[in-house]
Amino acid sequence: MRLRLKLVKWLLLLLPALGGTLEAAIIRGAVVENLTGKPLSRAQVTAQPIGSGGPAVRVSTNPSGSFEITTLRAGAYIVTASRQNFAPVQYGQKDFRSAGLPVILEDVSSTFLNFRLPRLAAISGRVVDENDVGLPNHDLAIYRNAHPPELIRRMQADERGAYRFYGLDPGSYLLRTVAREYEEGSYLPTFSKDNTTVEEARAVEVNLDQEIANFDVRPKQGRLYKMEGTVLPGLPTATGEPVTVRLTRASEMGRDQMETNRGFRFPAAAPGDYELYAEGPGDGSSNCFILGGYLPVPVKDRDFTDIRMPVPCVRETPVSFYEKRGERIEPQKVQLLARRKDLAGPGETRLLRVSVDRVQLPPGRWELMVKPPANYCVVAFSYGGPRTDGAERSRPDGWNEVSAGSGSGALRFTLSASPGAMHGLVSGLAHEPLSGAPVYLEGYDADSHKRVGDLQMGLTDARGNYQFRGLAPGSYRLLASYEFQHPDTATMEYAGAKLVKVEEGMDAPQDLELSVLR
Amino acid sequence: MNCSLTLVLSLGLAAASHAAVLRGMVVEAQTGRPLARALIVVQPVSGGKGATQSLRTNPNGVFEFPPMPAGAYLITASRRAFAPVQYGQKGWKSSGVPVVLEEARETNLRIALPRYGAITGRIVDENDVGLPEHDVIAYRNARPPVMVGKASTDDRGVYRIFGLEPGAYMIRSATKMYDDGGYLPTFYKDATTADGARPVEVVLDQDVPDITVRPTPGCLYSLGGSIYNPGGGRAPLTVTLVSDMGSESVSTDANGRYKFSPVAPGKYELYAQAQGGRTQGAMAAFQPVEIDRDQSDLNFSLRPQPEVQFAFEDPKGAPFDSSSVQVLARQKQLSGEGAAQFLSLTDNRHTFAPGRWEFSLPPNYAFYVAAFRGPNRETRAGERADGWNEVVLTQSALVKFVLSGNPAAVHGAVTNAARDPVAGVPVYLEPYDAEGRRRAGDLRMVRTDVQGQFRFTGLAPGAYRLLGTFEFQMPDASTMDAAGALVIRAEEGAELAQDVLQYVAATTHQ
Repeated sequence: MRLRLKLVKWLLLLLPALGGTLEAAIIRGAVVENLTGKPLSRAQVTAQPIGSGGPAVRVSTNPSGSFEITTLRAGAYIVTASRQNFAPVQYGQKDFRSAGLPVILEDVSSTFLNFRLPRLAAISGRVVDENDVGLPNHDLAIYRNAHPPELIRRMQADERGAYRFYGLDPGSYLLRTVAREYEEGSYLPTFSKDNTTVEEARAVEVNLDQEIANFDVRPKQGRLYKMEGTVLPGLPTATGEPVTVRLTRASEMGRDQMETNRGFRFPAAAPGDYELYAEGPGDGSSNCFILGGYLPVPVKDRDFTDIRMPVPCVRETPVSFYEKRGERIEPQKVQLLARRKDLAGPGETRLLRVSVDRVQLPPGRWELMVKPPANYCVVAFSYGGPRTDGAERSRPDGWNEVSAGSGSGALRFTLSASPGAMHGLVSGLAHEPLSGAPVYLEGYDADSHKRVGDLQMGLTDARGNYQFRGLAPGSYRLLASYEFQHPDTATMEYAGAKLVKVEEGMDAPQDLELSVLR
Repeated sequence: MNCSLTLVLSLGLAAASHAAVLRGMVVEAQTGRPLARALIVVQPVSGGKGATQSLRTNPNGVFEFPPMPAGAYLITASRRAFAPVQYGQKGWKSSGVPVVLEEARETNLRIALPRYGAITGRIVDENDVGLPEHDVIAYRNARPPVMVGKASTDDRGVYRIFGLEPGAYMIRSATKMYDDGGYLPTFYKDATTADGARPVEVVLDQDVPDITVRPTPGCLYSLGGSIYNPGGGRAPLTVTLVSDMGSESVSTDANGRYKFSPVAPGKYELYAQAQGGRTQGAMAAFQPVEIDRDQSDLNFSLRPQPEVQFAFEDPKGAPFDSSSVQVLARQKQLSGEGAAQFLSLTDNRHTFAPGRWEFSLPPNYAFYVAAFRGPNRETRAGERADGWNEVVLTQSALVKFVLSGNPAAVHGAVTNAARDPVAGVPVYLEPYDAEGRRRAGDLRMVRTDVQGQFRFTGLAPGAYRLLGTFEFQMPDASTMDAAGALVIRAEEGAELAQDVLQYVAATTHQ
């Protein structure tokens, strides 16, 4: 670590001298597989300039794993190498979770960089029966070992019951089989090795370039319940047939989907909570942009053989954006992000198009977040429709959960033209200013100890200064460190992130010392 | 495989009638571990007194049937992902031998189920680094090769194609495009043509390892165009490109355009389909295409799906009573043959997706197919029409079967070397082209009854080969050759009596 800080200090001294240099510099190098040293062709190498705001330059390695970037101006760069299924590496990284060090290029110079790319981790094993015979084609799910567990993905074991999850970031995971009913019997969802509750589950820790083998699961036999019924689409097709809708069943085991215009039958379900939602084509009007339905189904101790799920026309949802003093803000000036939230976790984030003060939100649970225009921040959110039962009230500048689809609610976001800001200097152990140092800003709910919104990251400039603008009032945590890339809430806590308060219209100075793990 | 109870049955044994007990255990062949919930089916040999019964093994792999009449039974054990076993099989390709349950006696069986075979290996680049998410295809080693399985490599470039029956296979990497170039489909080992491929031999209970393919870099193309759907507006259509590597589908964009990329040079079939509207049925199109360059203007229009009018006539041209006639159909694509299915005809009509189809009528004691007529296909003098008949359907068409009410039949007994009748032995009947020395239709099989008798009816006149043996299950033409199958000739309306000597191989088959 002492060497790293010396290097950073050296970089700092160099940077002012390099400012304004226009001559081209060259980065050459090679990318190899970490475990074997074999050259990696078609790896991507990206040089991202620091401070200048210029575009990143990207090249691919040739069949010998070599690369050359010849069009760079002198300056400081973060250089990253990546290839599919390998962990991306920033030059100078201490380890997988740490940030890379800037590479300083002088004019008319040539720098040689070697990258060793480690493979992402894997976990393999078998799904076996009571005699240790593999259960063929049994589905499994892998979860990040969090509270509650976070579903990562699902796969199907092969005919020997063998499975292999790969492309995993280092960390702790839980394995669980999915409920399955066969002609010869049914199996409950079971965590490795053979427990049905998460508290008794055996977690597994994986690192890069590592495969944990023989992590077997023995599903417990037990009663599953039928989930069958009928969808009732609100529109017919031109031929008079009911419209076909896409029906999704979500649970903490993941999502099952099917298309139907009448009956449906999902695989038998273990006791637990389920959500059904359906979407089909509407008539294109604002009163029927889609057909949609949403139905929570708690499965306890009986079959559901006659679920009747209406899929009526869904009206577009009114939305408005106002400045705090009451002036209307044109929707074109803001970005409204949405992601479906169901029992399998948050879905993909999508940009909602606002048309005539309305947005298209299918029925179900959704989370909404506004990216305000420059020099604005979000200070309030209201929704006339039902909020989700049990949903926590969040800060309006983060994700706001609503229960959409009733047609009765209107979304209203209030923005302030006087956002807060934060700036400061990052210094090293000898109190010297550090350039190119990553600074992380986390919206933070001090009461619930939870992150609000997305983590922001910036790099200090050539003089070691950072700045964040457009901040909503509230609590934040600040951290400057090379030790991490995108630290989570627990890591921010562990690294001693600084708790700060942002007030509307105020630019708070906050100098930081580089956080170093010893 | 346990074959300790392989017996030649005497007629006296088959006549036994008092309760017998059958119990046993099913285990995994590789490990000897008990197999819970395996399915056991007991079927009496034709003419016996018992009934077909089935049950599943308990958690310890054990089964026991309620007392049943003494006699000869065929016993089959199966479990998901295992190769089913007929008790007494000598090898994978042989048939089970009936087990004789004796009066007031217990019979204990141990059945070991093998797993199907598998082929594993890696797809690697020029530096022996695994290529992730690269598709790999397994073909049965035939001419032309028959696609049987597909897998995708993992992050290490490792693939595993499983569930393979014993036999010879070819492994081929699929087309793949990267940022800086494409890879052609490449057979193991480093060959771009099937003739240069190295076959891989698969047996039960075994993974064939290290079948590593290094795809050949080469030029890939794109295929695109627009599809006109009369009356269908701009609703997206599904377009499917089929080759001997499988199929992929895309949807047309708002302008009705489609595009496939990358595409390796070779022969393809293009299918497009749209749902019908208020006034018309489903619309579709079929277009064979050969790719040797980029094509961005392969445009075509959808037409109503072809409707086939089936007609059934006697040899004099008079209508044939079709109430008992069932038609089998299967689609033929470059990726292989679809499953045969019985057609549900309305007024002897049926609608098909455009493309290549084959039709046949299943054997019926009352008639045989004397001639076939369809688009681009007509039975010529000396040709047989009692097998599959291929047509290309692009528009509505008439398909005619000429049926004769005077089929032939053949019956006889299978005897062993001591001239004793053999009960429960499979007898195979193969329509045979004696001049071309090849199979001329689907193989038929019956087992002899407790008297050792067999009978085939509904035969078209012509040459056939007969074989009675426990050595095989559905032998192919070359196996029939090797076993010295008996060539017979069926005459219209005649019942041929033909006894068959049971074939016993000199060595054990695997």
